Amino acid sequence: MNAIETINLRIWYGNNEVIRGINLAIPENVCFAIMGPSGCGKSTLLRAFNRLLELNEIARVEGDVKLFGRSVYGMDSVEVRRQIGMVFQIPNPFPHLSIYDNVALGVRYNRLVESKRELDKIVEWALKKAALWDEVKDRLKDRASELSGGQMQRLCIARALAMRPKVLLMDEPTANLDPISTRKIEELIYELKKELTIVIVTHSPAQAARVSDYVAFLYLGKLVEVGKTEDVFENPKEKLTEEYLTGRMG
Amino acid sequence: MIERRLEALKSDVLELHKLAKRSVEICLKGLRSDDEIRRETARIEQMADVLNTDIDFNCVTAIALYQPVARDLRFIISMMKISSSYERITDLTQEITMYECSDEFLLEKFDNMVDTLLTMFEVIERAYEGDTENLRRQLWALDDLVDRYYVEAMDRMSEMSRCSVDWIITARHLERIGDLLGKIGARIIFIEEGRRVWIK
Repeated sequence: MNAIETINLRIWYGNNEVIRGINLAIPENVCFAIMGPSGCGKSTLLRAFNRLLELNEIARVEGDVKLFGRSVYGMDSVEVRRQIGMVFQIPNPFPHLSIYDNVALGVRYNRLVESKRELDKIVEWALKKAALWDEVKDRLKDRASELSGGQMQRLCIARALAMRPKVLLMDEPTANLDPISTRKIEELIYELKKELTIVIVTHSPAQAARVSDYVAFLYLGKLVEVGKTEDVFENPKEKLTEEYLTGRMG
Repeated sequence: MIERRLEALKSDVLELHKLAKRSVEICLKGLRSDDEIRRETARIEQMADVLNTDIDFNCVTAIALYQPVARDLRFIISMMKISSSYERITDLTQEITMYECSDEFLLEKFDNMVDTLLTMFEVIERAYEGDTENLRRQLWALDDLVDRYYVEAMDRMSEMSRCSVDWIITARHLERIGDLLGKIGARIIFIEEGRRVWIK
């Protein structure tokens, strides 16, 4: 079964159609990259998956998005976002909260545990999954704002993971990170996709090639090409994809 | 930026193509005891070694600097392999010139093999200029012809009361050059069409 499927998805901001009839199937337990030039609709598409787009008053959506076969529009939006975690381009931990509380917040809020001991276990599990535990285990009460940029991003990943999502959306998660932090996040993606589906938006073809199993290329709101990463990068079927990948577009 | 590097690579590979073709063209004169030809094939072999090393270095540099993908990646990887094949051809021809042969039947078969190999070179030249239509079919047919002359030469040698191992090696090397040219053709198809094909 596909983790996410879009059916003739169209999205407008006011009168501007930014996503133009996209049909996409994202298999389970893979890393799926969405790439394309700035303004092509990558982030908008990602925000349609977890209905985050609804928070934008001028956005209008047509078509459907299915999560493991169920329309996300027939589900409670909070439940959709619990099952589909999200990590953004700029790390956004709650700076005034401790490292521990940043991870624990969503779990507490959604009453997913019944005891402090259970919560401790989930926090430790999530921080370990995010490859951050060893760096913060002795300073869990420190403020999140004291972490480095790369650590903050992994904390945000831990926060998302603590909710036990089935899908993790990552919107240019390494855009503001140095190569070492980027590598840690990419290694993390490799490990995490064994247990959940990851959809990553990137405008770095090199990153898409490194981390993804499948890749989709978007241009001006349209899906130009989708396929296995190695096929698309070695022998793209569409001229536009070739031009984008080889930096000869425009 | 990358376009200039790719153009330079192609130019070097075309130079190597010319060197390899020249060495095939003249190698049988060496087999007929022409010492000047022997010296020329040795010079060509050295130049091909240097050029192959340069191409290899430039390919690795281009990969490191530009992380090429799609056609650029296929082009660079293929240039490395094509370059090695040409370098190998010059090794084989230089070795041929170090032998001697006076058997007319064999020399005629070797001439036939060389003529066919030169036709293969020309087919590949046209492919570099963009004419890849029927490339596989043409190279396959020509390589079949080289193989047929090889079998005829080997049959002749098996009937001889005394046969030099050098002649067997010569026939084997010429047949091998046909295979290498087939591989070069397959690589050009991979660059142009992204298809992995097998030409013998």
